[in-house]
Amino acid sequence: MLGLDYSWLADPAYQRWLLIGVVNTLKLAALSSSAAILIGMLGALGFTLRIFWLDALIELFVEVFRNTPPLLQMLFAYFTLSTLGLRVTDPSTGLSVPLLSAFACAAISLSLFGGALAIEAFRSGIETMPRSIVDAARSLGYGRWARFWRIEAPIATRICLPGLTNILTNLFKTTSQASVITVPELMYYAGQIYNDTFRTLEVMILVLLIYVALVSILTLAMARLEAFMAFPGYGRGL
Amino acid sequence: MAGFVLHYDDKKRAVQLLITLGVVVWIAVDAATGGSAYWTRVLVRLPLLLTGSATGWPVTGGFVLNILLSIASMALATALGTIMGLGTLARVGLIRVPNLLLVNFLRNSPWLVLLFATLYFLPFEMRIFGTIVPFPPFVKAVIGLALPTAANFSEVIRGAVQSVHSGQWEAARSLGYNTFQIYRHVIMQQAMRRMIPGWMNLYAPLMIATALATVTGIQDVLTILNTLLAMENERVIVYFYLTILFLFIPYCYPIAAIARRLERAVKGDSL
Amino acid sequence: MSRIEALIELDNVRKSFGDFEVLKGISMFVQKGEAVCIIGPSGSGKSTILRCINGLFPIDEGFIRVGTHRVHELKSDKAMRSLRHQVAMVFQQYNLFPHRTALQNIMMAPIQVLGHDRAEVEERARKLLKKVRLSEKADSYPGQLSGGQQQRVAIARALAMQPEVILFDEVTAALDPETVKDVLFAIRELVEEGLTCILVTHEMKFAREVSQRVCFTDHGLIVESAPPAELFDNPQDPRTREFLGQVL
Repeated sequence: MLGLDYSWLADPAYQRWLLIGVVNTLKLAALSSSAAILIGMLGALGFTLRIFWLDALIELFVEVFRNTPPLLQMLFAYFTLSTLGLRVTDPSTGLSVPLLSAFACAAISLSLFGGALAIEAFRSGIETMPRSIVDAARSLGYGRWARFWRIEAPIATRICLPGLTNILTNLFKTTSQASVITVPELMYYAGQIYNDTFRTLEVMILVLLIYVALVSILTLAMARLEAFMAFPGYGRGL
Repeated sequence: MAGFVLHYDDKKRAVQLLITLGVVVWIAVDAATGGSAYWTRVLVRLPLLLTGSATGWPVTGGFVLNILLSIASMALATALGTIMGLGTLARVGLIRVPNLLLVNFLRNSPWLVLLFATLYFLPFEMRIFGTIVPFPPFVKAVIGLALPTAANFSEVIRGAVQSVHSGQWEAARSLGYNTFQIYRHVIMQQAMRRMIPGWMNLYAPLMIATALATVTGIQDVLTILNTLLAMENERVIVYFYLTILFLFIPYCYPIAAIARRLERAVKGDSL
Repeated sequence: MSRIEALIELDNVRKSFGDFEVLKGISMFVQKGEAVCIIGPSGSGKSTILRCINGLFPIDEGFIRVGTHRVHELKSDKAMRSLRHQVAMVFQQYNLFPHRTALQNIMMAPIQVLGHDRAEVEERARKLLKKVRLSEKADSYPGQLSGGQQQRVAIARALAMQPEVILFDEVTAALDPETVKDVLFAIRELVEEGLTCILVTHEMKFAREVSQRVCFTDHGLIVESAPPAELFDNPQDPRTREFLGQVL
């Protein structure tokens, strides 16, 4: 009905582009996800310290990054950080070039965006921890740190997992926006291919399917992890 | 004495207010000294960025277009999401399974890719019942952004309906209600309270995603920004980007904050 | 009764939450080996007394001593470690740790907090599980146990700390009627073995049978304190009479 033409897919050059694109997408997602989780943990830990100025700073950070478009954050990082002085002189040519590559800019801004979301997820996980569990740990003689590592962290991690799954899939999907600042990931090569072949719809459908497949794998893996980590006998919640 | 004690949250708000004031003062100082020329450029272009026309009227694009786009998308997403959500709750597998597949497909698709796919999938115009319905880029953007939001909204509906205690179904059935009547008079009335915060929670991400609509070629704030930047020098770019970033915050933050407050209020009550 | 001999001593303890004064000067003594029940209407501060005794809540005013520990002077959980070793607590909501099995729940604190030898603790834990008649549930997780079973594991967990005193905070209030009796049976055994117990409870029949002394609290004060036969059959204070008239 649509008359789709996928004959271009037989071309090894396009196959290679798609493969490089997928690999770079995975790299970008893995890098920014790990950084986001780290930022999330540090931020949530910062909240639990109950230092008012630190709390205020973390909250501002979270609100700024989750209430502005990640695309704009990436564009800002890419186009303005070098203007603001993040430049080095290339020793071979003697020209002043940006210190950060497009890939680095995308990775940094995605990490901050994902980190802001992760802080919020981890914080709500710690906040929904039943107060009475903490009391029980205290009455058994656990001190502040032992309580955090032995009781609160293992329980909060499990409570946070569904929220974390949402953030990681969200972040994975957002990596496609890095194509706008010429990071050679899957979406970028999609553009290259249809500029070559003019098969826009065919390319987009294929790329959409690849993304859905990759995100589905991530979702399933996280669901397996959630099931593995779940408290036996409790279903999903506490 | 108690009146003078600053509580933890008060101190926190005070610090945040100070930082915000600090940014304002910094901008003022910068505008008064070295940056004045740059800020003047931004100020001159501000009506264009906001409304799409240099004088501020009529509205042909800009940030206002992003807002209109988000509202239109939200309306469409609400309608589509309701249908999909009830579809995923259907007891007939032939209705439920395709709906679940569609919802999961849309939820796992990147917004940008979905927007591109919509852009190329929909023709310029379509003949429906003899009348020609055109699909300008704006309409395509509305549809492209509504699809993932609709899928997320259908999950909100499903969650809210499933959170109504199963005893309610049994009680209503024992009173002789049919399925449609149970949904209409019993389940939806109770689920609505749960749904509203979930529905509102979808709006801020949608508004943020309207920045992607620049790929459809509509004159949204990012498209205008790109056109402008071609005419400005490198240094001014920083000021323009900051301005746009801070257009989104005062619009999105209050809505997101209200949604979260509502969510917290609803969380406590058991249905 | 002499203050010096008492294992637990509270003197004029006051505690407020915000503007609400929950305890308005509680004084009581508990002898070693004694079982004391605290009864009274909800909101009268019963549970708060228990939480103050083991330092979960800091007090605003007054004096609390358990053995040699002056509880009101201990400021951090670290400083309270040896107090918590001496005083264990069982909660209304069981509060088992959901990520560990029944046996692990019992073994955790003795190993992680007291630093006892694992093999020795495991032997002790299995004995305690047998004592509360749950040996076959050693490897079940809290979520897989009934309320009554969870509560008995919680009692075993408290006992594993080898405490001198156990505080029971309305431990049967959240349970199904048929499982209440197993839990009460386990507690009765402990009392008969001579463990010092303070019980906040709504089970009047149980309070009468098991305790040596019953305290009636109302509006943050101990209104009346007497052996059960006396307090239940011949209450002196009109407030006690009114309360007993409602619940009995």
